[in-house]
Amino acid sequence: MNRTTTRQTSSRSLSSSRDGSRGFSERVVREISEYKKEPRWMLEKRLKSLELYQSLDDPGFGVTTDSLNINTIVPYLRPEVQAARNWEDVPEEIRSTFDKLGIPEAERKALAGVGAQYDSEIVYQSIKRELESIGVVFLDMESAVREYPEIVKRYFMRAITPSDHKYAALHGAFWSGGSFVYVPEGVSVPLPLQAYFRMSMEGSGQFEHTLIIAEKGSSVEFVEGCSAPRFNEINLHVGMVELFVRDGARVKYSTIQNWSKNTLNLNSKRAIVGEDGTVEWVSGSLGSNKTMLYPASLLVGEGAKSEHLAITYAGKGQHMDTGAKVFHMAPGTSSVIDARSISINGGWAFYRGKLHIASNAKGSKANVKCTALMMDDNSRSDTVPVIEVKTRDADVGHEARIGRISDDQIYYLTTRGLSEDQAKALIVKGFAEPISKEFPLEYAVELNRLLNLELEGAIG
Amino acid sequence: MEKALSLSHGEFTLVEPHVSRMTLASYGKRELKQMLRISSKDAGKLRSSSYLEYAGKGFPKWKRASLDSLKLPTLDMEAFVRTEGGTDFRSMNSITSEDLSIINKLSFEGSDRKFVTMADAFFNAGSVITVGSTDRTAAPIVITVEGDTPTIMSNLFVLDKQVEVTVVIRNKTGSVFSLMNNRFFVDEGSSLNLLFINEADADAFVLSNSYCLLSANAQLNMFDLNLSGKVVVPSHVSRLGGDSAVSNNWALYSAAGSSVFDLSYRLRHSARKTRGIIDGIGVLGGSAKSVFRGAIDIDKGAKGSSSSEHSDALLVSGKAVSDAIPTLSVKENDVEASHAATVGSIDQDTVYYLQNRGLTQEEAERLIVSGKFDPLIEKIGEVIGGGIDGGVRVAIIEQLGTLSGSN
Repeated sequence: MNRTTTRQTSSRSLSSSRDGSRGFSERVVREISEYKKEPRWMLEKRLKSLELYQSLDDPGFGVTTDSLNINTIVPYLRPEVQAARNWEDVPEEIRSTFDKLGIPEAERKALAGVGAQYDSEIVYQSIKRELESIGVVFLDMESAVREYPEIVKRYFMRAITPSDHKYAALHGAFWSGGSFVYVPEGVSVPLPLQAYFRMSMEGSGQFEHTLIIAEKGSSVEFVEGCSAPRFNEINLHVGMVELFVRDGARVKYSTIQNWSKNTLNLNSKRAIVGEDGTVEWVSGSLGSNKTMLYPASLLVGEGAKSEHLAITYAGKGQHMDTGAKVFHMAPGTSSVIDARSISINGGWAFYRGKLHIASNAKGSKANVKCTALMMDDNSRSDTVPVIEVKTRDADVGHEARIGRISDDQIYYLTTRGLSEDQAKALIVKGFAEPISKEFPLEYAVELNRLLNLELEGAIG
Repeated sequence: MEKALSLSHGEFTLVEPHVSRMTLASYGKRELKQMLRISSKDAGKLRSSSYLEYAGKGFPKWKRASLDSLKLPTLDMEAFVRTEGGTDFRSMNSITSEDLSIINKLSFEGSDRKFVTMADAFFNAGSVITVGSTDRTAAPIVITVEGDTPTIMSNLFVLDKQVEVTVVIRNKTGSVFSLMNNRFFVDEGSSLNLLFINEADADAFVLSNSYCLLSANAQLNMFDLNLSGKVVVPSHVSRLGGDSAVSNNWALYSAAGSSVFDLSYRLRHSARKTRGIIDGIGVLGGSAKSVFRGAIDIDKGAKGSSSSEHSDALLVSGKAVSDAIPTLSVKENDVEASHAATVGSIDQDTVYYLQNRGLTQEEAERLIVSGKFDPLIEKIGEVIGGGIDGGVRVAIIEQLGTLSGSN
């Protein structure tokens, strides 16, 4: 079944033209909390996070964030803020990208920030009746805080605490928007749930928080897609995803990240997996100027499993620091990481991973595979997996390979009538295929289109 | 300076990993002053400039190989080091300006710059060894560290064009501290067969940093054997600086008790058609810990190069732990680069089979492990010669005896 349930931003036009406040201060935190009519405990959590943010140092690894002037970023954009921008102002490159992606006229304007587009806060939600009838809750985070305070209080920022790192603290203080999914015990959600986030105002930050709780024996698939037009200022994205996969449950979380090439994308994603539970992360990271993203799986219950499938594209002007982390913390746990990257036109793809097998994780199995394709000699590719094994009763394997498309492959395809560029594009698509096939059909198509577009610009 | 990490690419830079620093009671001006008295003008320059850098930063507070319990013993002016073979030996204390200029060209970071500069400031042993084309059939050069006093050694090896030489550096120190720098310049078409054997005291902190610069068509065949010590941190870097240079690095280790081995091998390919191998195998008993770092860096322009890294760790005790950090950093697409790592235990079916044939569990495990080491020991025999593989085999078998009894 390829149907998906979508919560979209509304395209209703609002008359207010109030600007979002820039900078990260206590005043802004209080305003956000007040505006969202949050309970006191959430305001306190935000304030505590702000305090931590101010005291923590930048992470001691990954991309540099010197170009980021945090004071110019809008941490929160109210829904009534209307973009005051003309279609003519949209760069030609973006307009032609919309053409090639086949995005409808109305949506193009919204994507380009010239239509009335709501940002940061999801104000429109559509929950299928059939979901409600089986007890599944699918809400924006703000509504969840108000309507399900006990559940949110129990899980919100418990997988990734604000003290985890500086940007987790920043997120804790200024989070806004995102999705909340609660799947009751034994329920299988019959269709993928989907949230499409968009940034469309220059300088606006995006701090969406996604919280998914899959109770015992339940299953759900969630699809997150990101897209944003290019603007002149640095855009900041500090999202967070927390998955609680209870005993015997299964959660599949798929993402296509295609932020504009001026976005600084510092995302944190973590799953806590109970006994015989399974988490699957499927990621396509194509956009942004710089990215730091390492989805983590904490396998805390016996027999818990995780699978990380990721493809990263680093093109012109892109520094992609991506990876995966798996912590085997119980016996009989297993994990697979398959990370692929493409470096082209001076881009830098950096795989950073961690695999930890704790002393009690006896009988665990883990396999890490990194493959990198270098399309030219101006680009760079790194793999740095850290493997820590604290028990002898574990089976751990790792392999990595960096190389180019072989002349033989190209020759073979050109003798079949393809041009060299077509041959290269076909090989790249084949390289990405094991990951792209894991996405719902329309997302797989989008991923292929995006790859085509990138390669067209890069090779053709 | 040959730095361990390359942190930039075009407009992008990576955050430099932060190394915490700590203070240890260590050698200072008093020891330097004593050493300067016995140094030539240029040896003095080396000591003084190294001291300045050394004094400017604290000791590294490593997460994986803690130096917290390191207590440096009194430093004698001279260490017990035996040197055999070779013809052109000069003490590091009598280096010339020409030697100093080569040393400066072979400046490197090692496991931490603090220790590289410490060795160059306070060495109480060390030689400049030149192998000229007339020494083509020279006997192996064997340097053995002995005695109960701390050894700080700094060596420079210069191989002229078209020579082949074998160097064995054996560390049998009875002291709790030994530190060495070894720099190698291998000129065009020459081959260096190099064997490091660490059989230091069980309580010893063993720090060994080496840097090998390979010219066109030069070849390094290096074996690094680590069999004992409390905290053992070897760091070996080779730069394949000339076209078609080759660097083969084979590592074998066996750690028992509460030993911590943090082993690092780095290949930096900066010329065309260069080839490299890092191949490591280790066994851990007791509550020993190993970290195996194998790094392959391929610079832009190193077209047609190939490099591979592989490491296996066998845990024979329930308390032993092992980390693997294999890294690839590639800035050229016309290359082949790969790495692979495994961590696991001895196959219990094989142990059971051998037990059924009358062996005890301990004997069975020892047989399996020594079987895994055999191909490498044979290769040592082939490359290094002189029957050294027999000695190595005995040392390993003795060492394996200390692994058991800790399940």
